[in-house]
Amino acid sequence: MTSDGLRFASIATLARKLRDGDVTVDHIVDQSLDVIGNLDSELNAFLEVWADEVREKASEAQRSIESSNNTSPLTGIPIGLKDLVDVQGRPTTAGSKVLQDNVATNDATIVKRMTAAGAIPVGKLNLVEFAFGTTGLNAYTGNVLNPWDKTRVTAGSSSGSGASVAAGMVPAAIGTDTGGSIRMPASLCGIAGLKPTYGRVSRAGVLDLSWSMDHVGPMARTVEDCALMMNALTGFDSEDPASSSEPVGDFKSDLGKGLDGIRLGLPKQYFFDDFVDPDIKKSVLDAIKLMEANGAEIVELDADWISLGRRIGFGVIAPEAFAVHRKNLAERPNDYTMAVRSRILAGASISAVDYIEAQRARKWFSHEVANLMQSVDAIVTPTVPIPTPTIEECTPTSTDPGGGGQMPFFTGVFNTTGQPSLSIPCGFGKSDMPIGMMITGHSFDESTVLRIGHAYEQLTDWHQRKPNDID
Amino acid sequence: MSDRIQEFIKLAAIIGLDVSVEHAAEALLHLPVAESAIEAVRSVDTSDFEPDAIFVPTKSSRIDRP
Repeated sequence: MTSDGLRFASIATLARKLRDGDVTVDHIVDQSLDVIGNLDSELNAFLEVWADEVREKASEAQRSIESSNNTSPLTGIPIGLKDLVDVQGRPTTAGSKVLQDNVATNDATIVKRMTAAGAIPVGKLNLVEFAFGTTGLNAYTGNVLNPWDKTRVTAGSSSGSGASVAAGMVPAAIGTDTGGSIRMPASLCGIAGLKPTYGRVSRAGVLDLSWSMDHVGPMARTVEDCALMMNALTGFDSEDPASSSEPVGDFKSDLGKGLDGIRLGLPKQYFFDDFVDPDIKKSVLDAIKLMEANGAEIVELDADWISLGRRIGFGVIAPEAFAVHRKNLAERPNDYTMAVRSRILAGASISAVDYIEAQRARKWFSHEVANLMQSVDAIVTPTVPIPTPTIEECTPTSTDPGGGGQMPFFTGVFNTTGQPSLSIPCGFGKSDMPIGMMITGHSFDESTVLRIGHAYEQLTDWHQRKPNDID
Repeated sequence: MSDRIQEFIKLAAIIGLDVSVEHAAEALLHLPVAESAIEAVRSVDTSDFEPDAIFVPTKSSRIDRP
């Protein structure tokens, strides 16, 4: 295993070292491929790795850095892609036998944008089949193991994205988030993950789970790295009908402004109720106190209706997922895993009228949250309410859906509203597993969310901890 | 076969899907989540809240080919 200190380095650090000539892209890429080669037979984070092509692109990126003093910070940075994302000429399988022969004819918009910024996609990452599941398990492609404890789940559905970054295989990865699938694995794997505002990052060339709830975003070691990736990923895209034309600034511009003048909302209901694990509650409340001691003002928020958000969201997700899959379910039901087939089929029980009402209720809920947040810049909550379960506890059978069903209780609230929502590490709990804190801001104000997360990172070292179960 | 399984198979048939007894039984494990979602949706007075446009017309234009 390489041990020159770069395996767990941030994108920002790598970019600086590349610019200063302290390291080459070839070295960074070789290290990434070495770590993947050494660990992936066990962790199962990658479905496919493109070693030869990656080495060719590394040499091109190195030449680009040597011939210009103005390259993007993503130049020469290896990135993993969740296998919902199209790369021309490569399979996009969604982790399912159903799509084993599905070869992409074009790059997804986000792939075009990241490669234009110089990033090097290294391969496709494992996931929950069709991204429809929260524990991260996949009986078809095999489970991804959590680098912090290989008997425990990574959460999902971006399971490979979370594990690959946490294990130091790649500095960053792309995830998608329909009910928490970026933020939950970020929380359980001890990394940063940002679900941007709905419409902020193009979904063109990314397979649907639930088209009105799907978000694409970055997963990385630090908040600054999420900001760097957002600078490459965002911007209007005519190929995505939900793409927003809201102006896009520099997502790094507010980093370093600290917490002075920031008002953080602390919900009185739901997010800190008795069902939340005491270690998780304590870690997040300690983090809030630390931010208060460093300039933030804390405002208690009264919202006894807020628990409705996630349930309303599922009233949208379930019928949309069923609609996406109806044809394949009719023609080849046995090519789905039991776990995901049964989840999708349950969507058949929601009528068209209830779906329309769910979309109306979603609008009501979004207005209520917007009103609630008029006095604050962001809401701070736990990302996940329960300690990281074991794979055994979460494995479903034909008579038991498996444990871990509470995991998306908090994240799903902000898919319903579409607001930007960031998970960052804020401590360790039972069995020494990472705990995540979720910072959720106003729509299209990712910059403030990133500012708060970055300010917290400067006060702690949770994000610098590394799993020791994999050496 | 239980009444609930039969009911689910009939419901699926109405929307064009032929579901086996085994697959229907598996789906029933997840129905409580769907039912809870609908209970939440129906608890809200949504009369003033139209969703944003759920239909976006496809853009088109004449293309003069040589």
